[in-house]
Amino acid sequence: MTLDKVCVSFEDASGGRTRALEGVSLEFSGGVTGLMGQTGSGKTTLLEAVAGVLAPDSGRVLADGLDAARGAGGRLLGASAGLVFQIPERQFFEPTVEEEVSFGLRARGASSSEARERSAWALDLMGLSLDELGRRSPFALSGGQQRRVAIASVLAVRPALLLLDEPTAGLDPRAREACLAAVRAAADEGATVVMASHDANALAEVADRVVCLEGGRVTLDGPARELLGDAALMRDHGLEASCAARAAAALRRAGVAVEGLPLDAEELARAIVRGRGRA
Amino acid sequence: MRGEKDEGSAAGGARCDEDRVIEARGIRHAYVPARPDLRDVDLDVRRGELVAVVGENGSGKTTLARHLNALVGLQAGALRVAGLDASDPSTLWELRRACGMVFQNPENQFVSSVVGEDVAFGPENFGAGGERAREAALEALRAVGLEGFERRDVHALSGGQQQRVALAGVLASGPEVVVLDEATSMIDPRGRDELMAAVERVRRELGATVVWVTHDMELAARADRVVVMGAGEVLASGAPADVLTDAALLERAGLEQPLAARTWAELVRMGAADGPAPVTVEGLVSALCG
Repeated sequence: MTLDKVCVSFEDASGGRTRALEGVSLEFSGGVTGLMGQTGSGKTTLLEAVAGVLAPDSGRVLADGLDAARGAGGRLLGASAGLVFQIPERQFFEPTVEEEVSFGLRARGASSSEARERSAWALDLMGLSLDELGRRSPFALSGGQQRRVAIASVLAVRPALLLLDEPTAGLDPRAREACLAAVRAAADEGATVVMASHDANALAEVADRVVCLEGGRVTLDGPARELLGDAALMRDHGLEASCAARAAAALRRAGVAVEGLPLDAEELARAIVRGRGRA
Repeated sequence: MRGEKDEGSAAGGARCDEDRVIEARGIRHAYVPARPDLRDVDLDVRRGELVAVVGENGSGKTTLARHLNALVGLQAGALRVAGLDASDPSTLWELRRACGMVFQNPENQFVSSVVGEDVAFGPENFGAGGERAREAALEALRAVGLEGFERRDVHALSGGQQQRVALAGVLASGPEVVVLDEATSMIDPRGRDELMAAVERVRRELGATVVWVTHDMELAARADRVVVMGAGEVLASGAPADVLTDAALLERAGLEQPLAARTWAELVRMGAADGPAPVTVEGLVSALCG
């Protein structure tokens, strides 16, 4: 996927236009890219532009070099992209969980047995059981279950381009780990994953690359460790590094030597021990 | 909660002179008869306490929180909030004023697109006249650090500002207790910090009692007390330093320790530290520098 000088704007309450994306140029090719930025920075708009849900005012979205706004490029994008929205209940429309999760498969011509098997697989990836939840209404589930069903419904079709908007928000640690493992597995099997998240710790676990947005513009774009491990850099951009990186920064300010850019508790402990060894 | 200056005002709210503001005994609840969501839950919260309620999805923490302001009706057991009996229908509205809730998605709880009107809705709905409701709204906005925002469009605010408007909407009715249900999970880190600072200010200046339902163990580590729920039961209740360092308990509850405790456990395993584990980054710094 390539975004070439993409601009998107919306009509605001006063009748004027608010620019949500200002000439964004990016390429996504495999791996997991984390999108970070404060509320209103353009993360959701960027995901929706990549998914083809929003048409840019100017600039182009290209799928395998084809303009996604036109025939073949649009069909390619439609067949390859799966988008999980930020508020999962807004994307449900089927009466049962099984029908919801299998919808994309059935629309692509899967047999009922194949649709059931793939739905069970996708729900299992998210730590849910088709036998247990299949006949229930997706609208009657808890918030955490709804989010996992929404992700499963997209994973079920094994999209080549997986777009996730705050997938871990509201999930407990087990569900969060299941979600992140599924995201990593999809990327390891060849999917291109773009994941908007405020959760620097989640991105530290799965992202290869991090892109930061501010006011609809790309302000940082680099390897996940270099960004999420650098508390000062992220703070300068109004963002938060991983919890371990922020702890490492606090320890350094207090005079404790901490080596490298730790991203989790284990790395932080090792970095402290290495720092003591050097001191 | 608001003290003497609010005496007699519509925003004054219900008062409870006892130290215990929430007293729950043996609460049982089931949305579906064969599937209990709460099993004999006891909970005491003292005036001015910040209690974090943690647990995995489906552990019953939101159902418990919704009992506190009678969004969910009491099926079995006893519950008193701010001195009011939750099973007494005649004081239902008083109880809802005494205990306000802030939800996960701020947009779901706005009734007006204008900040001042939205915040004044609570006291107006509880019978305050327009001017008194407006004064209560201004005071509540000041308490959450949004003085001067009363004419702004709520939908044009950041997520953190929206959650503070939601908190002000609750405060304007003068509650004894504020319940926050996953109120930080949909806002960015700056918004989370703004909301946490606003809650701290409200506790300090207004003496509010706060029950904070959360998955954020770093936030729970800053509470006065942590209540761990699992499968509809209270598994543990105690100081963060005791509860959040109990790895076996948290594993059983499907939770993880805060970063400082996990880092300390790793240092202990490597033979590089000993002694009680810290639960906050500040505690980790002190432990390593001390």
